[in-house]
Amino acid sequence: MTKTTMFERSRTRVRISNEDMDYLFQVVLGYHPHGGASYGELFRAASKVEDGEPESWISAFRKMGERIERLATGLEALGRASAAPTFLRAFTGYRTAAFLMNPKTDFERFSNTVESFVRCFRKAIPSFGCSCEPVRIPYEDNYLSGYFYGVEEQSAPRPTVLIVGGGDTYAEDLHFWSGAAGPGRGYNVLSLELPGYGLSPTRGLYLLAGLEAPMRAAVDYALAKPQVDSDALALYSISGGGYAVTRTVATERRVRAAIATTPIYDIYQLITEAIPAILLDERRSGVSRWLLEVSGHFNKAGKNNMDKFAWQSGKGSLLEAIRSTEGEPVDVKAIGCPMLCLAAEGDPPEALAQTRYVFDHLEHPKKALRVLTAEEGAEAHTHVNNFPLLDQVVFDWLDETFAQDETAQRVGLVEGA
Amino acid sequence: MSKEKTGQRHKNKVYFKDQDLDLYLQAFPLNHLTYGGAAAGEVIYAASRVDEKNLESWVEEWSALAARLEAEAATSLEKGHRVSARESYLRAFTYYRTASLCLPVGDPRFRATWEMMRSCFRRAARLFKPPIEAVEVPYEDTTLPAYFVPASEGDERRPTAIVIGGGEQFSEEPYFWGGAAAAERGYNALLVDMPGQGGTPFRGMHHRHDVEVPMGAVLDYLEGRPDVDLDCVGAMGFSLGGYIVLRSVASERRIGACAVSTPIIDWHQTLTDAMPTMLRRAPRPLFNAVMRLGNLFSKTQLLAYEKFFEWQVGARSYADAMDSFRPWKVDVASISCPVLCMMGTGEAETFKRQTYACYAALNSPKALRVFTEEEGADAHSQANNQRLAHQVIFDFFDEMFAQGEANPSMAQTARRSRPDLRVG
Repeated sequence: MTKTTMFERSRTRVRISNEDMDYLFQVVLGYHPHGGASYGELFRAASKVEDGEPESWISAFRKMGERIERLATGLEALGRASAAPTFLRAFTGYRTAAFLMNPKTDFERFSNTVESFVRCFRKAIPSFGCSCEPVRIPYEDNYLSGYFYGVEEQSAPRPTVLIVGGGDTYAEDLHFWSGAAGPGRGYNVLSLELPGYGLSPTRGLYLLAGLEAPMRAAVDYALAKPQVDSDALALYSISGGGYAVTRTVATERRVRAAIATTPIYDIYQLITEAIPAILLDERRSGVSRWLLEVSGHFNKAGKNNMDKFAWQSGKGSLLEAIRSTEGEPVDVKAIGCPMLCLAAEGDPPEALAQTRYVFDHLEHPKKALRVLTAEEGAEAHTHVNNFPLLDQVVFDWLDETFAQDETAQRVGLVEGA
Repeated sequence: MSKEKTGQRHKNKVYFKDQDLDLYLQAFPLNHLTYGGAAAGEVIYAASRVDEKNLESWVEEWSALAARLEAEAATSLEKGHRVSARESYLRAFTYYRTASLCLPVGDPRFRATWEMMRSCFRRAARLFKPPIEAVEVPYEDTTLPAYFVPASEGDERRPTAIVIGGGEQFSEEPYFWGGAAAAERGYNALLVDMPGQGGTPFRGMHHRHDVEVPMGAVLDYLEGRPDVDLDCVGAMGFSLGGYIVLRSVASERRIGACAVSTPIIDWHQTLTDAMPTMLRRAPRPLFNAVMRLGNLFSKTQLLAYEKFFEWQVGARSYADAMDSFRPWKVDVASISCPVLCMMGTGEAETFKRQTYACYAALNSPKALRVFTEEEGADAHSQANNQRLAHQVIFDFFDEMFAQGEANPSMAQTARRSRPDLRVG
């Protein structure tokens, strides 16, 4: 029997033969650049992991989080400046444990772990070297969570990146994708958890395909900030957030640039391509349930992920959750801003195909496509294995896009100049 | 045969079957991940292409990666992307450095690689805000290559850490071992090659046992700077740097506190302990022959020995080199500044023995910190957990300098007991 994998996400094996776990391990190795990790701590925890057994993973990384948090708390009591950076590594321990937790079957431990990493992350903020504050973005009669990273010594409004992750991404994670790097490169960053992300299902928010409303709420919020240059707001997404970004820029004209790794114009298609067809056939739901169980048995990490997806969707089953994402694909031709289409060589074929499709159908003259490769050490999904290269590609493109706009406007080439 | 492994410096291998290559992977590129000197995916990609049986493939893969990053950095700089250029140059430095580990010193590529790595680091240095300065420290009738990492802009006097690397290190590397951490914490850092370290053998310099002499020159240099608080100068040393720092503070009173991982107080003993018993007793010609034939050692170890004994120490033979190490001893009882002794549980026994011996013999304020496997910090010099090591070191410096109330801002932090340290 072959083992199932959630998604192909990387070609280079680090340490753990179970592919899902191996990918996740590369995620945390990638957390080094901004103080999120020390590899000895990660290898130590990984050495306690029994391949393919989520429980051993959860236990090892939770212990790592607990141990480092105890150390950080001790330093905090002594008033040491070292407490803050230490809390960031405690965050990484808890966060890594949470990857494989199942909110459906073990909600208490799941929410407790999420609260632990949020707590540690917030205590780490003084070590970031830029201003950073947790924010609540008003949305309907509820709110969306995120962080606002501000450029230091701000005398004028700055270009700003609004970043969204995928269903598995917490706002805290986005620290490593651009939150920490943006201010040093002259950009404010607003990170965002869409409905259904993070702990939002506990306050009645679920994954939804109609993302205009939450995205509009976030754009309103960003543009109302005095630090934000309203002529230079970019949307940036990783993983499933590619759908939110691609969809938003087809209608939202206040956004001046978009970056997605990967762009997604049909989320239902992407999800169903990744899941064996038999599981989606209603007439065979008895069989598909059985198959889910079997595949769950052979890949418990995958089973937990599927349960989590259903929980985030507010649906009773994976099938219902998947069906709820069905809708009209994005009209790519309507996208009205420059767009950087990024993908990783190790992304699933359907994600690569949609990236290509979006790039080919973009009518805006400023568009770019780049597939980061294994040779560049950046072929893993969302480029977790090479944040420095990703930052370089993203921010250099933004620099050029916004600067080109300025130049163009000065010489009167652009409408409205 | 002795049970002690010559090169044992950590217990957990992470990637390569070969112990030495795995050590190199950990202590160089993986270590440099911490402060932006490497990217995980690049490291794993290059490592995955190395054929462990063929050291040439190691050189090729890391050189190719470095050259690619260097070109990428140049392009970024051309287009005005200074942050991207700096980050790429810093990674190119690490990858050239990693390539050089498996090049014999006699190979012309060794010097070429050294020049490229130094050039990449210097290009990155200029792009920091404020820039890292490449400086020359006047020493006898020549100079020592060094870098000054300012904590921030301006001529305000700030506490300063001197960072000394190990026997095989170049003065650029202590940026990752303490320089970057110092700047994050408001300390300046001076990264310097002592005679025999780094590229100094290219200048005809060799190791000397009385390292307090060049260290004195370093302190003279710091005295001439307007931005150094001379009441708060700390020194940190890793591996052989542990010897250099300890030996210096036994007579150099301008260093206010030091942290060493591990304390090496008798270098001859360290090397003798690391040798197989039969070799220890061997007559000189046999000793030299065995070292050269190298059946007892791996290819990588032989390269490292050749580089250290012949090129850096400048000895005509291994036996001569061993003799020259006899005076490499530290008079621990004369040390008067506070000393933080650090070691990992995964180190060779000889390092552990000297750590305990040094700690016991110290008459000055002292602390002992043993890093464990559970903490993921058991490797030699805490290569696998720099963040933790830096927390411990700089907290120690903060406390020691606050205690003397030399620095008013730090004196506000009252000294309290440290549960994680054994404090003497």
